[in-house]
Amino acid sequence: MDALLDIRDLKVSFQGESGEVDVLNNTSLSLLNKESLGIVGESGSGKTILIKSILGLLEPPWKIHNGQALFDGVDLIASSEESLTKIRGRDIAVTTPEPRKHLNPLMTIGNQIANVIRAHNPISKPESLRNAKELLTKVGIPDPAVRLNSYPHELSGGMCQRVIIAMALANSTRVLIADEPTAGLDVTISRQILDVMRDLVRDFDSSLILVSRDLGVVAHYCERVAVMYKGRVLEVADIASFFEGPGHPYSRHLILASQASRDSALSENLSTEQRAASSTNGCVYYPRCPVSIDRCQSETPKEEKLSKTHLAACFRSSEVASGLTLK
Amino acid sequence: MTGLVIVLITLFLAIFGPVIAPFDPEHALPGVSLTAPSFENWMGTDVSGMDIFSRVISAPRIDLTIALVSSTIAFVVGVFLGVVSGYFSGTPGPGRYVSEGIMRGADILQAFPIFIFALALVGFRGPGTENVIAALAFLNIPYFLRITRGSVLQVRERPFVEAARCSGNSEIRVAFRHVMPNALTPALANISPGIGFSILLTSALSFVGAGVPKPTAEWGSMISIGAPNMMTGQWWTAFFPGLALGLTVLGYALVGDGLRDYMDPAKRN
Repeated sequence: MDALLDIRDLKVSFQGESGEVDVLNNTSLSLLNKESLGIVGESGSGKTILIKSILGLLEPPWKIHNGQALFDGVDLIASSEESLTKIRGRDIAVTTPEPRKHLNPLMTIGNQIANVIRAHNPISKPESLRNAKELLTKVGIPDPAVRLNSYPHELSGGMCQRVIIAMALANSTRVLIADEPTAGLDVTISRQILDVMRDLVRDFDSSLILVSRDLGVVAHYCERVAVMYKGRVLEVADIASFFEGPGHPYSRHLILASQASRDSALSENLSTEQRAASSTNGCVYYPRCPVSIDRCQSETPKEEKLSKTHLAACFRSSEVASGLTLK
Repeated sequence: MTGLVIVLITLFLAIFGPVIAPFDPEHALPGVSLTAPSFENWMGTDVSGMDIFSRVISAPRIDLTIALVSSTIAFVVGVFLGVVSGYFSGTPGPGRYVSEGIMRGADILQAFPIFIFALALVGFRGPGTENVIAALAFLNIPYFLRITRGSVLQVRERPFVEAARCSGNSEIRVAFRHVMPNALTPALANISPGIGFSILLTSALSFVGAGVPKPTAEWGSMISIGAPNMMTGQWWTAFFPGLALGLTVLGYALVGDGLRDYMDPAKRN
């Protein structure tokens, strides 16, 4: 297993006035070459912070305490701003939710794409604009020659997202990180955009990290999935074993919750009740976990191997995976 | 459109004003003082007997030169320093100290009385237009700096700035290519009132002897010379230069608005 991007024991905290809050707690995750990995988790689970910390975009009050993010053997966390500038947009590129807000409102989209190309390649402006036009064609924007001269406010949300994808892939990036690429878009457009993204990632031989709240999307477009909760990775698994037998009660709840929207009987099983955590050392899911044991209160579970491609951080992961009833 | 017309007229007068003036704007007419507007003297004459109309249309040459040059210098320098100080404010690394240094410099400049500064400059270099321009530019730099900084602090938090960094732009490039154009509006909107204030300040400086020497046709000094006569009923002495000044400021304000709309592609049609 050759990891392209290997995040090890990353610990990030937010330093507020009334103390420090750990946002990522010894998070480890690796991305293989040419694979697509989905990261799921609710708001505040640390998905976006994870992305920002590997790209060196965190500024105070955020603080990275320890950890590494090895990309091609280079630790991104320890890299200087200059070397990160060379990596960002060329080797690792990001797409964002709210695409329109991520485009400069005073610059034509053609210029914005061309700028990304010229930031990493010594080519002339007309040449970079020609490449930009090609990219617009590839992401499925009609009339690319006309659209080159459009400003972001003249495009729909879906088109803006396509432009963002074009920018991200402009330098045939090796890792594309798509942070909620379909937030705020309707289902048909989401589908088209995700398809375009998957096809282009394949064409460019890139790897994909797809951050999403939608398990269905992850199931369809990814080969592996990582579940995050409160700054920890609770489970990493290949898609098939994840949906057949999730090894963590939280994952089980997530899957149930996504089905519950279609099946009202299921929703009764989902408890949102919370207990107070008696100790900070325990499992992060303890306050909501229906199958917790005494150990969970005082000890953080280590990742346990359920199979070669399936890890879950739960003391009872094998029981959960084989169908333990959740209360 | 109206603004553009006014601006063009003032520019025309700045070039040709003294040439087309019916009388010499800096010499008293013999035997007339404080005459009311007539066919002979369209706007009357002032206390020394100089033709006000000739003086009003000759004034843009000196007024506009001072106002435009000083505002341009203040705008360029102020915006540049404002972007630097705003973008790097509170960031880790040496940029933070540069940012703080700029702000403390602005504090000192603003705390220092402009008249003392202008007088010192005149004492040092002798009276002249350049000194007025320098004094006004220094006075205005902190204003442009502060409004630009404030707007940069806002813009740099917008998502597209992070997106620009994500796609491999250097900090300097992000600051000047992506943040600056989006933070220019307040500074642009302040150029036109700035021009008006510059003209008024020029006259104030003339009044204390640190500005343009007295007989020179200049709206501000005409207003200050004419103001006492207004009290005694000779309204035309200060009214016409005041009107000219007001219209000019209005013209530049309108052009400033137009410029701001032009900068925004969503409003440009």
